Amino acid sequence: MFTTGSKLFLGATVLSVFAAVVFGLSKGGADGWLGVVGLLTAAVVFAFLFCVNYMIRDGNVSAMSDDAVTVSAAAQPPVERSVWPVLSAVAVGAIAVGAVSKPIVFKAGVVLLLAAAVEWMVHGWSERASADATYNADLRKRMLHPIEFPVLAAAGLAAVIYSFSRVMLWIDKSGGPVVFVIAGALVLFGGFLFASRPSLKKGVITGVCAIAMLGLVSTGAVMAVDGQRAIPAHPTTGSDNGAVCDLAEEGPGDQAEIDDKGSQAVASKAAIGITVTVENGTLTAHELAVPGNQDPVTVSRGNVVNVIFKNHDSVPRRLTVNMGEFETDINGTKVKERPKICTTLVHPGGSQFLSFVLPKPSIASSQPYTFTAPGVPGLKPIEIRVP
Amino acid sequence: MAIIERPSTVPALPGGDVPQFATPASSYGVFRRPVTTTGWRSWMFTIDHKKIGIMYGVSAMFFFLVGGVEALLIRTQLAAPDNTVLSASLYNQMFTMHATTMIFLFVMPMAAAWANYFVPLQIGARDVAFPRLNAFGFWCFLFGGIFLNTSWFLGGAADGGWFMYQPNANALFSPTHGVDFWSLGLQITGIASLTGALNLIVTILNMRAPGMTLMKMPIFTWMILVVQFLLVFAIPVITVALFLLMFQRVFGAQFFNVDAGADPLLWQHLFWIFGHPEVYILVLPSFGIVSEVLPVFSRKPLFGYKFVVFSGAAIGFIGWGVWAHHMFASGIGPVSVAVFSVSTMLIAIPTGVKIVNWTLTMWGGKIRFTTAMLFAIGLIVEFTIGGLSGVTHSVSPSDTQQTDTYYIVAHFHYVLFGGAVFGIFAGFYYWWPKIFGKMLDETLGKWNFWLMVIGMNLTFGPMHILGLQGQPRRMVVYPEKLTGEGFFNLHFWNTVATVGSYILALGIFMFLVNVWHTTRKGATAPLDPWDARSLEWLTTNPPKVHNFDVIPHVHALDEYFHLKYEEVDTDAGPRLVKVRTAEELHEDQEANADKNIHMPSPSYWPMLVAISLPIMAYGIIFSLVLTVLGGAILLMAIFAWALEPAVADASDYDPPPQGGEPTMELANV
Amino acid sequence: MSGVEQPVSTVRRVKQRSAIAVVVVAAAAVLGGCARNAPQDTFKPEGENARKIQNLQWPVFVVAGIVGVIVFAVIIYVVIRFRDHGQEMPRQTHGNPTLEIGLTILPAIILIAVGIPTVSTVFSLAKTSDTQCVVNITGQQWWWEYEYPVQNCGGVEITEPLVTSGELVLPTKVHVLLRITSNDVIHSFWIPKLNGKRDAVPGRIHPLRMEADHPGIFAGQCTEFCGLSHARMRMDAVGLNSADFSTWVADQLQPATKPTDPLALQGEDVFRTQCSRCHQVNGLMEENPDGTDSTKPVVAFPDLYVIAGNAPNLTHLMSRTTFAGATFDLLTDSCRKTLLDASPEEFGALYLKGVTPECFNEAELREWVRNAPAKKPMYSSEAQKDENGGKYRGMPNLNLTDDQIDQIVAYLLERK
Repeated sequence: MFTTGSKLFLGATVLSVFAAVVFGLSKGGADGWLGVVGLLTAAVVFAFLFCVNYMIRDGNVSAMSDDAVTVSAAAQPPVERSVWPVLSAVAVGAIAVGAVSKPIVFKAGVVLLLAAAVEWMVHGWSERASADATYNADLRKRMLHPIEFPVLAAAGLAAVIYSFSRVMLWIDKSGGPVVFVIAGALVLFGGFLFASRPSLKKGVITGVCAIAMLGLVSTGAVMAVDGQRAIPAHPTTGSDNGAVCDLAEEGPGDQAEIDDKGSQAVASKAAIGITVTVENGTLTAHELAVPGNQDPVTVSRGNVVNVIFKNHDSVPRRLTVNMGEFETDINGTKVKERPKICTTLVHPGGSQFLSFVLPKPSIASSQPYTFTAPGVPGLKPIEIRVP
Repeated sequence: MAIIERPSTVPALPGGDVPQFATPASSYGVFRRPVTTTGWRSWMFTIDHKKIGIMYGVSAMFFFLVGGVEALLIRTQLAAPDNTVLSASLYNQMFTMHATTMIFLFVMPMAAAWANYFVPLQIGARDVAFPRLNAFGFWCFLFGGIFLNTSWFLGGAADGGWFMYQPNANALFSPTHGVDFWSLGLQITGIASLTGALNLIVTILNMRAPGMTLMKMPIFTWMILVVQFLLVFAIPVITVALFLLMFQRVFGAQFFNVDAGADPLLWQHLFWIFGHPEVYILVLPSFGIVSEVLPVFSRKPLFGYKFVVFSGAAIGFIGWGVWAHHMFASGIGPVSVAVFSVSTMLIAIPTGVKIVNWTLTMWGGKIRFTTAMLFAIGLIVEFTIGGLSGVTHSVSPSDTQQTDTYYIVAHFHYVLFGGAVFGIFAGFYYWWPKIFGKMLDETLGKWNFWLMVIGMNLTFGPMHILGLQGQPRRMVVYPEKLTGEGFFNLHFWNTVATVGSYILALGIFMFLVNVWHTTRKGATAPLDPWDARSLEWLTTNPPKVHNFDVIPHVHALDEYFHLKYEEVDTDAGPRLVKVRTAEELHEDQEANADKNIHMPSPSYWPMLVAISLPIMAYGIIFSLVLTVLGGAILLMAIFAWALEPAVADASDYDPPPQGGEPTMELANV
Repeated sequence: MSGVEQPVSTVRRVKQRSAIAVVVVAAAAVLGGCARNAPQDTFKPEGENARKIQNLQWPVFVVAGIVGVIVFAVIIYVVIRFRDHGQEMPRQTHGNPTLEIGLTILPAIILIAVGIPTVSTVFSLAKTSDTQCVVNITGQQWWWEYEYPVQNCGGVEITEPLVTSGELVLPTKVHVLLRITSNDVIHSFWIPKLNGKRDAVPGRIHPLRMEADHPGIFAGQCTEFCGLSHARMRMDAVGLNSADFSTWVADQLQPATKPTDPLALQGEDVFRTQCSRCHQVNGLMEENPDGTDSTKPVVAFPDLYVIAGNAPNLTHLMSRTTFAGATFDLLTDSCRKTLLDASPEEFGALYLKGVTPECFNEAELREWVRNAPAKKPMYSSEAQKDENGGKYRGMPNLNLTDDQIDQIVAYLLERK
């Protein structure tokens, strides 16, 4: 029943599984896993080879029938043209070039070589599978389509997605939505057209799609080479020890600091601990659910404090939290640090979220913790007490 | 081995210059299809809805025992204050896995077992719409369940509670791989539920026998239809949640992390939007079963069939609007709490309708107290208790006192054990002769029933007291000083509950004894042992592979009953008279049997696709190499599946020993 | 299938009735057989909010009970009356729409009657504008911290923020607003005799009203599953009348006193080196090289050592009666019983005495200091610390010597 070759691989499979079990039992831990996975992979490979050998009777037709020798392998039509030798050569070239230039070329070469080797092998085998060329061609498809189609589809999709993303990154911010809408509309329109004209020739559809894809990929390539547009970073909450937090105006730099959408962790707004409002030159703090306004405000040490800052003044304001004064010893010289955290400037009528943690109690700091709004004349800061 | 060359019988020309091409006679399939109708292969690769149903049932019962042992361990630990049977860590794993096992690996697949087996029979179909998808669903469930339970041996099971609240189920607070196993395992079993649901929806909507309008459909099938829609909408929600959990734990995502600006309540909402419809997913199939059993043994149609159908559908809809009643103490604000309180009260109405209808079905009937009927009546009683304690929860201020105490544990065990599990056991006793052709023993059955009823009320009844007197749930120990004074203190009631749980286990053991006894020397079932009302009883016990020799034409609700009985006017008014016996109806079927019945052929691929999923899941936990391997298997198997024709080629069959062409034995087992 | 076609046997009928008897007896046991004085009984309110819940819930339970009894009575009647005793096949009636609709509307009416007071109670319990005192509550694995902000708390002026743990001290007859949050996972704050539970969710602040009718200790328990020692995360609320509360606040505002006992003085040194990394003791000063106290306070930095970033403040440990998440007693059993049994008038004075040496339950505190994780499961071994990014969850085993333990315990006993 089993051919000689298949017996060999069956034995190797069983041995690998056995070895994996022994290895896994004798050597636990992370190292053990790697070995077990390796041995099991070997087992799968051997099992696959076993199946192949079993299926093709070791490639020896005579194992089945004496007649077959006369009617099949030797009596084949000449081999067909094949693209695989050329691709293998290209792959070897790419490996050589890649080895001295870029790793990506090397990797591409290896992948291509592996693919070509598999295709070539199966193709070569299938041409000798029987005496019927049509049957053989179908056999090849049967074996390789399950691999080819998904891989090609994935590669094609990746090319489309990657190219489109390059295009979107190249276009400037305002053009992006327009292009996206147009692209989406085109795809929809095309789909609608194809669907409404079932009689449309397959070649036409393929052609249109191929041109579209080619266009997209080449545009993507051009734009990828040209590089993406400059994407300005949002100005974030200033915390650089007060450089920005002490300013009543925008911080240095060419970007506008006011950002109505900046640093607003939406979910955290569900249960804001403290609402701080600046209005008519005074600062008020209201703790969630507590009647009235609080001064001083008491917050828990080490807890995240979520604050909403509301600017009811007529000019942009920011909320700054003075997080105390600490003396640290750096190489024998004592340095005083005054950590601060603040919101960006907030438009009149606007609000912004700020979240911070005070890990040390008030007694650890030589200056009190406070809320303040820089630049407001005569403003009395609100003290934050941490027990 | 169909690819093996099978040379043509035409010989080449010896010494000729033109070779003769020989076309092999075989199909292209790499392996021959598993067409045997006997032996283990006929089960492993089957796509017959009945065999799959049985396998669902057997696997689910296995997990039921696993979950039951977990429950017994929990109760043993709680028998006395400051007990040390289980460590805190093991206890946490135990109650997490008990709930997970019972919900996902017992009640849901058990409902799938009943649905798979009986929906096609009840609607007069020969199989489900997608038989291979059906097999795939089963293997997903089984492999997912096994995968989930292997966590016990690979570093510890999940320990975050079945609700797996964030951030406690985070990698930081639950450092073992248990929660990873849990999230991945449930994703796999979720695939089973989802494919099963789509399959049954298509089956029910498209494959009903001619004449069976939706309003003539058996009530069990109706409830199953509602449940499948619930599944189709609920499973994606939990899958999304599990995905987020998996990404948070394995790949460092921040969906629920407060420090990253996220909100842990997101998890609770996602979980309970799934979790509440899930309750109805668990209990509605059992409602369907008792709605079949009660009329049969009361010898009356279901009272207010339409009301029961619409209340089932109403539960299906309103069930989506009550999820936050699991979160009354979560701090969602008074407006949400008030709204969800009211909607929760609302859902009590359609549920009450069912209780009323069942009772009125028995009213004026001629009740036979078979074990199936006892379980059905037991369900009405126990579920009513659970339903009423449920109404007390809908009063949200009261719920803030009772939630997360044993009162809740009592409530949902009355609903799920007294509801879902009693329904399942009613199904066992009612349908066993249909499935296996033998009658389960009634005496042992009554032992089984009464031990279960007593055990369940002793176990879960005292939990009402425990909860109302302030014993929280999920506590590995409770200190003696909090048990109160007097003889009937919390220690006493905990001991009672533990004793009850052992009685309950004994009751379930009686069922196993009964199965063993019946298999060995049970009485052969007559064609129509219960004088039943729905179509599944029209065929043999057990049914033929193709279910019906001829597809029946349906004229009425309870078609089978109306085939047997007719109303005849007599002097004393109309009377029901038996006009045909079950045997006559069956002979009628066989006499008019359809020719050329084609049943789909078995296949390897559903199982192979399913097994790739746990391989990938192990890979995500231990080594991505395995994931790649599993992915490769998945890809190949899906493709092979897609290319496989529905019916096997003749070459897949062995030629008969006496020689000649292979025969395709399809539907004549 | 012999029994099916026959009329129901007498034996079965007897079984049926005995079953009914069992159910009735069980129901009676359920109603009558409750523990007396269970500390967390949800039906014994001793504060305004819990009473609001009680006033709402008991009629609901009664109505549910009545509905249940009616349903069971009907089922029992049906089961006995319509059993198969050889009667004719019944008419195949498919229902009675009028009856159906009636029986649908009836529960709807009952539910409306329940729903209206429910909604009004929900909003009344959520009201915070009339509260007179605020306490910030933080849950962490596996204990609660209470922090009293600077405020006038029901007439008692709190000039500096206070922080304590385990026991939530409340002025009686004052609407107290609890602002509940968490430092790590979700917990739930629950004092059943004073109000329903409210989850402590990290990043969110959840308000909860609380008011105690009279002085006394009200037991509670974390009720949201929070990991390994969930069962050992307890809390007590302590009611004190206005005068006693005022005394308590004044006591708590005092910094720690310098130890007098020589053993305790040595204990102070051990505390400084071993404990003060996580545990704050207000008034403990850093030591000068010559052994005298400097003017620089010792500041704990638990955020570097434990995941929750917090450890209980021990300045006034012995003013409390429990420790380690209110799980273990600092008082001996007899002293605790005296305290629990004290009349509301005597309670305050007795509580304010704190833990006296004769009432000190030394054994448990020693075990705790010797090896905390053995007493209460916590992920705090060295190996688990490494898994958790170098931080403990809970108190680790500090491997103290017996002498050090003696000294620490002596030091702690003076922290009043």
